[in-house]
Amino acid sequence: MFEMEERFYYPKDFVETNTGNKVNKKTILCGSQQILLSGKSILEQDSVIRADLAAVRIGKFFVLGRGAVLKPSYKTLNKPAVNTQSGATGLNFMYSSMNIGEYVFVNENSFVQASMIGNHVYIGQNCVVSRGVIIRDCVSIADNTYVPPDTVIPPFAVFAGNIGTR
Amino acid sequence: MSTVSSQGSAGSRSSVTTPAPAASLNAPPGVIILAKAIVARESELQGQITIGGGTIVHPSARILAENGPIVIGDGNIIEERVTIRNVFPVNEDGSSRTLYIGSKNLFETFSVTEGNIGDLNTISCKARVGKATTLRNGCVVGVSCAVDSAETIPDNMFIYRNGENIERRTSDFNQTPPSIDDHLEFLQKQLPNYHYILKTST
Repeated sequence: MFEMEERFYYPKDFVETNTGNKVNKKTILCGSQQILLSGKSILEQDSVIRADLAAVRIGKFFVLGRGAVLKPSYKTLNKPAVNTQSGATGLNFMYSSMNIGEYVFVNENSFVQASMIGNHVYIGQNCVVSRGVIIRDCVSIADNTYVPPDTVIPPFAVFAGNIGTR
Repeated sequence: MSTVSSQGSAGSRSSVTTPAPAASLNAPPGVIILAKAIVARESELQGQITIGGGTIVHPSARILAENGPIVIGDGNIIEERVTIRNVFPVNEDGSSRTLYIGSKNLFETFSVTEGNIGDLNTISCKARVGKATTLRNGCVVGVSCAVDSAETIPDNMFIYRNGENIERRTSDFNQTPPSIDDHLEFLQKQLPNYHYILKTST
């Protein structure tokens, strides 16, 4: 898979937790109670995690590049749902929690709204991964790719292009 | 810095980019927020802006009335990292043009809007509407498409990318474009639970 090169950083720009997460002080973490970072992850400057909409569970060794946005996926339902999380009932619309595996690398300025991401996934720069996408393990998504909604990307696939194809 | 729980969760901070939580919840000067609009405090509002009722402005959205005022209609959803800018050139006599955004539009993340927009449009991720363009109603500007031409895009157009080119076709919405009312209703309940919301103007 793609190896991240060594980079030097200023420790004063980052907060380091006791499980080894390095979170830049200039990230925007909404709903941080619902963010679960398993450990040893890096959240770079200006990245955004919107866990106020639904829970975001992230595995170990996750890297969120500069300016990247992680947002839970949503779906419109045929009949109204009871959303116990927010207590909102009777809506045809809900955000569902986002699960991300280990060793996932989301590069700069990408927008990721996938509902599930497997392990060892590489997402390039400036990508748009739309809602409802399921990315399985060991997938790499090239720079500037647009993955349309509800795509299922099988394991070991390489996705590129706008619209993205294998 | 606040302490972090041993599960490894990201701690009990909310967004980090602003001053202490005691900062004012009043709208910045020049910004008028009409009833039931939910404007997150962490959004960036600059200049003379009117935000219509029921509109939702997510944190880290940027509405910059640089060269003139911006008037935003009701029921829009302006997601994070969206830029809405008034960069219309200022007239020789010093007067400025207003940027008008209609109602019930959906501005997805990373989109940039500089031209007038009607109602029920969708500006997708990383799309761009230049200052010379006017969108009418029900249009969809596809992901990472840029529309910069000096024209008025008629109702119900899809602007999409086909390989390297950006093409357009009339959409086949039967009567009306799909509504974002359910999305609006969800956000109106959910966002105030997690964000400081600017006060509406009386």
